Amino acid sequence: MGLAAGGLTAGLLPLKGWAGDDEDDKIPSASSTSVAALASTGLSGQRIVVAGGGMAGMTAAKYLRLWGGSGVQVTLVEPDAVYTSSIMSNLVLNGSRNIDSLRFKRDALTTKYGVVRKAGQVVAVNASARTVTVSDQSVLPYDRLVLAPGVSFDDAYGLTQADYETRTPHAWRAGAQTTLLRSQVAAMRNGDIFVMTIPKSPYRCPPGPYERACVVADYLKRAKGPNCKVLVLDENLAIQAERHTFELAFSTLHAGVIEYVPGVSHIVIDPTTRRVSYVDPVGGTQVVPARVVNPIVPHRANGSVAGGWLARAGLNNSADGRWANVDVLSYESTAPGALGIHVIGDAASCDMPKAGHVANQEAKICADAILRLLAGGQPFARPVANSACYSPITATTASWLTAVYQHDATERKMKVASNGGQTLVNGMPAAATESSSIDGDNFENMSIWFRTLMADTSA
Amino acid sequence: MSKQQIPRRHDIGRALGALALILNLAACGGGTESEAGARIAEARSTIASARSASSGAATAAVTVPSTDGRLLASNCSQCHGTLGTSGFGEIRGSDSSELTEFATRTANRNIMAAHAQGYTPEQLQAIAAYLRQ
Repeated sequence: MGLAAGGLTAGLLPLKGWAGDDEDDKIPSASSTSVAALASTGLSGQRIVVAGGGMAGMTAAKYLRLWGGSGVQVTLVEPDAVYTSSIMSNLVLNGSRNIDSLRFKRDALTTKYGVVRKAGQVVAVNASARTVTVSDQSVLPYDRLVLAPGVSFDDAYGLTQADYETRTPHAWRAGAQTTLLRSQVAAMRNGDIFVMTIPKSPYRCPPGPYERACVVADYLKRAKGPNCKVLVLDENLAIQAERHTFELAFSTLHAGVIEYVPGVSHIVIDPTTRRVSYVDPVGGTQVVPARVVNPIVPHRANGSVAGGWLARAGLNNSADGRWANVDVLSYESTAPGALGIHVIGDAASCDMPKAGHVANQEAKICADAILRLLAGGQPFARPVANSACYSPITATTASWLTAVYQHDATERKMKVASNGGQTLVNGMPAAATESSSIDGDNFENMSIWFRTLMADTSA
Repeated sequence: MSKQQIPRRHDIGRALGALALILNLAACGGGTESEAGARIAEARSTIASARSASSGAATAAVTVPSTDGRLLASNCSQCHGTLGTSGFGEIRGSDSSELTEFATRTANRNIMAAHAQGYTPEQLQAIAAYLRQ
């Protein structure tokens, strides 16, 4: 009985031998000499393809191996060896962080967990044949497919993808646009105007734009002078997350700098002159001469545009065709003919916010469900997801937001719960919890949270 | 020419079932076999080998321990590490009363209280039981 001897003995590796969780913040990458103790499950020969190596995809690949064991083959289709975290990237804009500190190697997924990384992108899904085609023309068969493709950004407000890369960055996916936006902000002078726009929900990271406004306003006050303005043009009718915290921050901490305008429409941006025009909530057209424009443009599931790979496979089955609808017990697509295809992360429409730490938890629920299904069982009937995130409000203080989501079996949805796991409290839907204060302790805890989240996701 | 019996996946799966269960839990950091065994006995379901047409691989008839507690406890990893031994502090071996004690604190002053209050008492017990292994 020499079957999978390595797989069995892997379960006996001592806990300390591969902790790898205590990394510091500087380009963390797990020790490549340590190997994780994978579960022994008896599963053997199953092939799982994970498409996309962001927060959702990395977590899914890792946990499928950690919980599925060495007999479960996991291939991660992802072009880049290094992930750049969008979480914490607003601290690049105020000069607190270098973008290098947000880079995480993906190699531990392979060296510690045995995930096979295929360098490339999925360009087609053949649901009936159960294969994906990769950008290098190779064809990967799968027993289960996990799509975590993230989002693509619309050409909006008169701007193009080239404008985002070179002139009017959205920087809503960290990378070169983040450093571009930082250089633009750093070059501002007292009296200049920073204009940012917020798209209609749903968008990734609900508190993120308001957090960015705070961090930029704080920097401009300290570094440039009291007369800069941060104009926040929100297509939504109200602040989308941490309303109490941000109303307080806008009206007190950053009063006189941040001007928040909800309910705007018809935004038009000239990428050369950076003049921004919009229609205000009472129907008047306004024109603003911005020094820096940061349009956080509408986004949608990657591949969901007409003719895109996700759309050709029929997986963008939300009402507006922008997202993938899923069963929240397993994240399996609800599109007809999509048996065995799961969608997680920002691309999925799943009752919870689009955010990296939420994607981390979706991935675990999905991985557990897939492993149960592969063994002939059913997904766990009462999964719980959580959302815990910290937001910097200045260079030294932060707030936090927390919600726990329970599964409502009647409506088949995830719903916020509090007061001992209740989704209704005194007859009203439970609400997320905002920190009662914005302070330095939160700011320090934010670093611990971020470091630990990234290690849980990629190491 | 004698015919060799080729071991089939589900035969091997059954044979390894019991050992696999214990090691599955051991892979997560040790713990008493009797505790694990009791939990497994409660939750055990022997899976039939019939497989839907949806998979190319033959089904392994494996006896799968309940992963409910493990999945619920995985919520903790974002702040306490994959193994529950880092981040904001070690949570392995925790007594479940430590978790339920958070129910009495003010949620918006304590992020862990806000967290704990999102779970039912039964869920907290399941998480604590898993972390005690």
